[in-house]
Amino acid sequence: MTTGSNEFKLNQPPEDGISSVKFSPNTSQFLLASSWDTSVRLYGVPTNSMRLKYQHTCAVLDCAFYHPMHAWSGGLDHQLKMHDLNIDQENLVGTHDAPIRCVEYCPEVNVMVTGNWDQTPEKVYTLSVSGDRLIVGTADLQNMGYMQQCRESSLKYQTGCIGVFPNKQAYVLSSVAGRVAVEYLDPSPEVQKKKYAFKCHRLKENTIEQIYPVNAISFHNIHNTFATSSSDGFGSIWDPFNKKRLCQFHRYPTSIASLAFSDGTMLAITSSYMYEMDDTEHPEDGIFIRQVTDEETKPKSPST
Amino acid sequence: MAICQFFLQGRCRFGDRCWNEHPGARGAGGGRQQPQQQSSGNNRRGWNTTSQRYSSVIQPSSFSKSTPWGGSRDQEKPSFGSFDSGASTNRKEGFGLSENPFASLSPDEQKDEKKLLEGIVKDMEVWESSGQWMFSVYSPVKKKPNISGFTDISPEELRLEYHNFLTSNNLQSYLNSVQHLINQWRNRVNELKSLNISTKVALKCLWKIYTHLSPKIYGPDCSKFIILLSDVKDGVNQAAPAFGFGSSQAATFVSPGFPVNNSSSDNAQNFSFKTNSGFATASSGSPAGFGSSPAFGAAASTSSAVSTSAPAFGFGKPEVTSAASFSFKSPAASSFGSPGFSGLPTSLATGSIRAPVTPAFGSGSSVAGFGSPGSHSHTAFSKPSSDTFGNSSISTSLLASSSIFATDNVLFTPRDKLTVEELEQFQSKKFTLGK
Repeated sequence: MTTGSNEFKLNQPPEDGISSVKFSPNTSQFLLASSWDTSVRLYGVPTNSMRLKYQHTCAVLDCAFYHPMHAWSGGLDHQLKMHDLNIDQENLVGTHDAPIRCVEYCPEVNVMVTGNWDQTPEKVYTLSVSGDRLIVGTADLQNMGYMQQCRESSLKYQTGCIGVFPNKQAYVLSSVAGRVAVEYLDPSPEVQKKKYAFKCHRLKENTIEQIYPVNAISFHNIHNTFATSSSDGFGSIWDPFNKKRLCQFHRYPTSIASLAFSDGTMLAITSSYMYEMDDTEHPEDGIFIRQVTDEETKPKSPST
Repeated sequence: MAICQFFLQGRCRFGDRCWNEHPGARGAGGGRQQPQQQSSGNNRRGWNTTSQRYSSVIQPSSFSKSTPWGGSRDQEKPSFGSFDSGASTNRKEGFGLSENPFASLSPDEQKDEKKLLEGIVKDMEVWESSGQWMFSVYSPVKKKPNISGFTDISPEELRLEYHNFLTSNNLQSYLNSVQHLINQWRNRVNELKSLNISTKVALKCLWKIYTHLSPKIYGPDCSKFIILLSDVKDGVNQAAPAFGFGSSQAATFVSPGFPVNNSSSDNAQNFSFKTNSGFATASSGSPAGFGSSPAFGAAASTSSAVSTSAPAFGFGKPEVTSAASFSFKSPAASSFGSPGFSGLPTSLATGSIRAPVTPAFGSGSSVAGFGSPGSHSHTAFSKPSSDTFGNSSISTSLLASSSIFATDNVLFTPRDKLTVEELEQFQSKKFTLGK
């Protein structure tokens, strides 16, 4: 497929499904990508080159930067690895009893957080960090703000992804049923009244609406707008304050498994088949880096 | 005195002769045929108070509700791509019932329930036609429990299974398992789509219990019903026997999050990740057994339902026993010994129960029967006619209720899954969670 001039595809993408991509903190120079091909790769974005690659023994489900020089990753081999990107050295940090699904960095507390499937008390599907708090989305529709609050998801179906607003006031929750909810952390009733949900990522084919899971959410750290992406291959950017969609990207070859905003200038879009429907032929997996403009990411002021 | 379930549904066959309270048909205080009851007003505790409260509870004015999901469902109509303040707004804490969960609903509530049920049917239709991810739990509305029969499996987990089977060269087995899961899902969706009487009653019953108790659920563990035990304890002193019974039932009947060792199954059991018993429930082989018999039906059909569906409820852990005996012991020792407690099963069971059953029920015998420390509780349940329960048809009715309550997904956490803190709470005299 042809890409516009504001977008390019990374060379040497992973050879199998890509589970997660993250930009290095405070810069758009480096991108970390974890994959079902058991590798974690570091890309230099401006140069579009793969800088480094290291392996796990099984598929890697998530990765995160500790700081620009350290990458952490975990996956189905239950192992949490830390890799020093400067000297290309690996450390096995620990092992869980179950596959690690999420790895995130919490800068305020200076810890790495992992979520896994060991059912204590429930399988973790997604995790997001905000300040000194964690929001965890688990199976059975539970969201836990690290035990400060345990809430039931306001969406009826399995949680796909959670993202926290950079302003730490609220979080966004998506489900496998083409729906996204914006909820507030403050449990007081007046604040809770502001929450809402909307449908998205649904395609009408003939008369039947196909519903796709919303797999990824990523926030623009300055504007507090967020992007969602789905297995329908589309990504959109939403303005949560005016409750409008700011833009929708062209359709990508296959499901978009992960999204990552860099420091506000770029968006990494992972087009990677997630095997939602069997093991079929699918387009090659790839990571696309797209430059985003203010136009696309900035909330419109009410007057416009 | 216990409220008569059948009367609430409009079909009590004993009519005036019924030993249980027919709210509205009789005045407050219900001094009726129960010889042990004195509605003399001296007795401010116990069932008198409760029966008076029942009468007042029935009046619509004492409910505060304005329903949350009724309204919000209508708000969910927006066009594609646009925002709406949809399902997540305005959710309140359930029906607002603070006492008897089995009291009949006010007309408003009935309407809401109806809408909810319609919503469920619609959701099922959409789910099926839209190609939406099928391995997801489903909850019709927030503050209601997940509807059982669905299991949460993320795509990654499924792919993991695929890989595992691939490496062990057992792909066919994987495919069979997935196909099985799909069939289960489809069955469950169809069941909910068609919403026959039994499914409806089961759901309604479940919601009553849940909404009754959910306002009290707080703290880190709000998804688990361990906290119900504190309700039981509190409830014992003031609340209705039906309530107490109900909540203790809900507390003790397990739908744990682990697979059942079902003989009838199933490659699905081989999955490494744990699926909840809702899934196992369906796998008992007869969806009919799951939802077919009315929740509070004649004993005969009840027991047959029990025998088919009981194994499915995954009561496979001895911890259940201890939990069960825990919740039963203390309350049972005190107020549940009264005939009020027997009221509920009375209405469930056959005529033979009509004889005063106080001793059998209130005392440890029921506890023993239920807890059945001798045998694995799993076994006990799968053989309802076995000696562990004696021949008390009360146990039949206990089991009957279980077929309803266990329709809930995650009612009770087996002991080995409790965190230290939870275990502490569980074992302590009084709950301090959230206080």
